[in-house]
Amino acid sequence: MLRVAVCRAAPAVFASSSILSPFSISRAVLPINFVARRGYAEIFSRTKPHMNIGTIGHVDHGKTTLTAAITKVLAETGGAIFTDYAQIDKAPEEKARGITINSSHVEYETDSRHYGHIDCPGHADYIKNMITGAAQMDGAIIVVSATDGQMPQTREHLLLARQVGIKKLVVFINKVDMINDPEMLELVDMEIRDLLSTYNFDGENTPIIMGSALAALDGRDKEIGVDKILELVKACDAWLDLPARDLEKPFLMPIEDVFSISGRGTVATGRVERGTALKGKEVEILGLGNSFKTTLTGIEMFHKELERAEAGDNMGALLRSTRREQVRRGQVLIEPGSMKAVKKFRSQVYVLTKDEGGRYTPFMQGYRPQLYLRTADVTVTLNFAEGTPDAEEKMAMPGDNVELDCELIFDLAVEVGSRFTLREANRTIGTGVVTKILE
Amino acid sequence: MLKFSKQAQCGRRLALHRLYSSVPATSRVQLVGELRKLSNAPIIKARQALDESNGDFDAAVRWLEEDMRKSGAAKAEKVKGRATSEGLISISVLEGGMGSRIGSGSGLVRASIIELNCESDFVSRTDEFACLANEISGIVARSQTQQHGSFSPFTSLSVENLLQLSHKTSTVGSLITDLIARIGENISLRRAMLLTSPSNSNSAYRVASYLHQGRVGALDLISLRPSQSSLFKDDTFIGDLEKLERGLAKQTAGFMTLGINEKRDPEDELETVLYEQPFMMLGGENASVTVGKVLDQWQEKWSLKEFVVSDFTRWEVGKD
Repeated sequence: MLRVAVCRAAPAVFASSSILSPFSISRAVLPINFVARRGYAEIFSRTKPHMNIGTIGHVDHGKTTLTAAITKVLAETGGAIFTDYAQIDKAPEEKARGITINSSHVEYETDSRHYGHIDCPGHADYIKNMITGAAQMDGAIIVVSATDGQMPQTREHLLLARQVGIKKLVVFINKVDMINDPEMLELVDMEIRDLLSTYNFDGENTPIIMGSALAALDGRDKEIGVDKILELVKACDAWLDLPARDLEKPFLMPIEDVFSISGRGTVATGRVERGTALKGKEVEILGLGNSFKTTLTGIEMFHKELERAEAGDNMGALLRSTRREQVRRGQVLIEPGSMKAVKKFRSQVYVLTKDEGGRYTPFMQGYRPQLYLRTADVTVTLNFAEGTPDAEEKMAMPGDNVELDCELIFDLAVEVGSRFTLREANRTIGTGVVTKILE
Repeated sequence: MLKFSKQAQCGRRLALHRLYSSVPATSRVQLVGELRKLSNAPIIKARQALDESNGDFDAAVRWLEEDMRKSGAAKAEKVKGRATSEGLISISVLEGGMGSRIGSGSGLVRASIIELNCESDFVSRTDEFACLANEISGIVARSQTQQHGSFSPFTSLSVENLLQLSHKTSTVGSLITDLIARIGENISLRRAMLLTSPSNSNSAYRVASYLHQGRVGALDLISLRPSQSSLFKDDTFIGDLEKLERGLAKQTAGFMTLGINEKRDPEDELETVLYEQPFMMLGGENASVTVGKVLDQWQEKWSLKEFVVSDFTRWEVGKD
């Protein structure tokens, strides 16, 4: 079901360094370039901006019915393939980067956007998704039944949304046809807004849509059915912020290899992770205790000299008056000032189980594995996040999601959202995502 | 510490219950809102309660409590078949054994471990669910269940019987159905075990426990024979002993421990044997020394006639 696509792993071939090119190909590529996605894509045009949206809610409040209803309603305008309840509810166990994830995916598109829709059965599944990046949620729809109102676990749903970094969400109050009392619906509305504000969401302005997913699915009571689904989708378009696209972000190329080419100078090769590089522009080399600025005097790709390179391209960067010893694999080439080299950051880490190829034993405060980030590989000291009660007493076991403070022995270009893996003796023992820069 | 804080939260919820009559609310919607804050009852029920009691708040609270009992049972029946694979392990130590600061310290050991399941980990993370798990493990530890003709200090208890066990004005079973009514997920008590000190023995017993995120729990029964009994009044000794015991329980939980000094199954890996594991959980210079060696050294250090882990149990949520 799942296709794991390796993004453009074409070898970087160098016009003036053909003897060196085999080296650049044979270097092991870290598994950070894997993208997992489902396979209906061919019918959708990819011109619209994409975002991932998740449904979160109590088991009986109609998440799956809502998802089915959205696909049904949007299918009428050609924006989706109707996916019925049974198909969505399977939530297959999928494997991404060796880690088992429970989630189901559906795709649909509105006039202005293309959505990937994720639904996971549990908190831990969403956290794993976030950490591995298998299906990052950029926004969420919280589903609450009007008959029950918010429940004790609704707090946990909002906490989860916070934890996976969602800033804005949309609320769908389902099953309103079961409550024929507008005052009570007002109460549900009021309670939810209160709760949203408690958890630092914008309680006042968050769109709350009241309808019946089942009515929409059954094609009855248009005003609480189909109309409300359309309203919900519109609210998502208008309220949820699109994630910045790779091309729009500042230039970043992790350095994979460095060559010294006589008569030309020092060339760093790698795959552009995001943004655009322009010949003649100033660039910054960052990380591993040696950061400095220089000028990009040439861009080479596929035996040709180019004026620019963009996200996804494998390129060679000719660097002005730079000695080979100054540049190393593991550093990054960036738009000056767009990132900082840091030694300490907070992260959310998933500790792989033995079945997933990880450790069979737990680890404690002060554990020192290798941290792999982009092309870098640096020893890291792991501690439970500052303020964790009884940190000395605690342990992290395989299968745990833990919040850890990471302290690197060399600085690296790190920012919130950067993903890394933790390895020990050639075994991946954990995977994590940066949540906060400490120093 | 964790247990204590959870109990504190449980207490807060009960305190709220007692304060209900002082709530100043006027309109119907406000009253329904207040009713929900108190009871977590579904909107539809809270409204019905108020209507049935002609707007009288106290009567509505009573109506809800009554209804919770009835509708809870109906709800529980409805969700009964749904799979419960998430949940929590809870441990309650009533008597920690000889010289222990938990209980009388008289040498009796009494502790319980239970697994309470629900459908999603959203629910197992709520305070309500953690409170219920703690409450049940407490009830089990205090229950008068006696073992008959069994030589094992650990006794598996029948869940059927436990559900009938009375607690205050209700039973364990009704505590569970009450929460099902409020949370709307199937909740089930999966297993429960009681640890009591073996009788007719010359050794002194103590119990050590460790709970990892409510997901993995371990209870270790430790048997020791000092050369003189005054040792149990020595604070340095007790302090050192507690540290070691904590390490042992943590070790049992943290590693995939299946046996004490030999493999449970010849095909098991050596790391499943407690005494063969490197004693990581004690920390310090002993992190790479095996548990068995550390225990021998310790026995020598305090010139004990015996110091062994005589039995243990290790549970993981959703596993056997």
